[in-house]
Amino acid sequence: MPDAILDNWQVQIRKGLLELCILNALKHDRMYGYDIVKQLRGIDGLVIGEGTIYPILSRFRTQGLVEASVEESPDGPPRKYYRLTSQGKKCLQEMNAGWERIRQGVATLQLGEHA
Amino acid sequence: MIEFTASARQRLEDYLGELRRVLGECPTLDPIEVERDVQDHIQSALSTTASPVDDGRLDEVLRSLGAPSDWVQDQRVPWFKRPPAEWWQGVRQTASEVTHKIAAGPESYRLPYLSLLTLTAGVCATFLFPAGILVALIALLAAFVLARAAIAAQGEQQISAGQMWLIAPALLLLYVPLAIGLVGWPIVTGMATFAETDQLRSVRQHELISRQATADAAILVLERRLAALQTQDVGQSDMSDVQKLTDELARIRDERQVQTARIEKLLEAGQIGGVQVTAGLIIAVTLLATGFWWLAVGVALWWHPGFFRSLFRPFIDAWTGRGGLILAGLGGLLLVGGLAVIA
Repeated sequence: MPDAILDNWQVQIRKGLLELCILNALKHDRMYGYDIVKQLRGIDGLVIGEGTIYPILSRFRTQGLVEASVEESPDGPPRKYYRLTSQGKKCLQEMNAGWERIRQGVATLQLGEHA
Repeated sequence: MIEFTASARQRLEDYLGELRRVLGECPTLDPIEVERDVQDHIQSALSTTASPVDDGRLDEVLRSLGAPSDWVQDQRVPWFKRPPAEWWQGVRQTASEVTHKIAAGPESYRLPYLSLLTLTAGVCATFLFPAGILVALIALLAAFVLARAAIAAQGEQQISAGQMWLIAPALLLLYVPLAIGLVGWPIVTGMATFAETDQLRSVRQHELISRQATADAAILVLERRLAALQTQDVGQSDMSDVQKLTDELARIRDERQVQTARIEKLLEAGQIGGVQVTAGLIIAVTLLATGFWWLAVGVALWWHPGFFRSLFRPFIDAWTGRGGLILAGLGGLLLVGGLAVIA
């Protein structure tokens, strides 16, 4: 497959999934930015530029999906922690459901079965 | 706090400068917040690195962060540069984000948006209401106060390009006249006075004297014609001619009297305390006044640059006051020039 087409496809995939993964990373606990990056590093091919999560977090905050608070840290200077708002939790629920539907649909196609 | 080598510090400043530039082109993002997060990321990533951090280690972290321009590729194009089909969606999205920022903050953008909205409302009021000018002036003052509050809320943080676009109109509408007044009022006053100089007054005088001469010639001709008619035997129609000539003569004599009065008035106005005011005198006084004023302002600028920086924030934040010495020097030259003209 020509590299340009593959690269473009991967970029498009990452764009959508990165937001889903950031919200899922915040699902259980508050985290600060670098912690989120460390967690997402574990997903191969998801994060190319680690800085991409910060504009996304800023947009989530503007949209009311996450809220931020600065808290003292035992390891150094105060840190900014992000947590999901109730609206963010609801949105994440729907996004996960949507992703599950797509994932199952793609899996069905890969197996060669038709709906 | 992490320490960097000099070159690493410069490298970091360049990276953050690029970040600010890119984020300034994204109306949907809060650039201050994103920059702060990125700085926190760098601090966390280098927290276990031996101090001072050098170029190589810093570059590893910056490479893993990636180029800021890659983070926001699809957000950098403003909605009005997108295809028309996306305009309405873009407008709605922008309006929604602006409304949210005004309602919920962050303060770094709420105050600038309020400043611009207040100014815009004032401008619209000028056209919509009879007393619109007064409303516009009040709105301008309110917008200015909001813009200054936005600057104060930033503290030591740099104002981003997006914020600057929002607060600049209200600030410039007051700063520009203030700056012109501060530096240029002697020149403006001198120019206004120059319009009334003796030279121009002389031109006017010459014009009136010419008209007087023309009137005198016309009077002479009419008097001769009248005299000629009065020595002849006149019929009825000639009597009406005599009357017309008499009326015309009276009218021209009245006009001549008016012109004489105007010339006398011009001569009186051209004197102050018995001294004839000439163009040269006005130029000299203007030079002296401007020179003295620039000398005083220049010294004040050099001595207390902080006062002027805070007066005209954020446009001259980098002002060191050295330009004040230049202004004072120019003022000194003008003083010398003014004395030379008087001499």
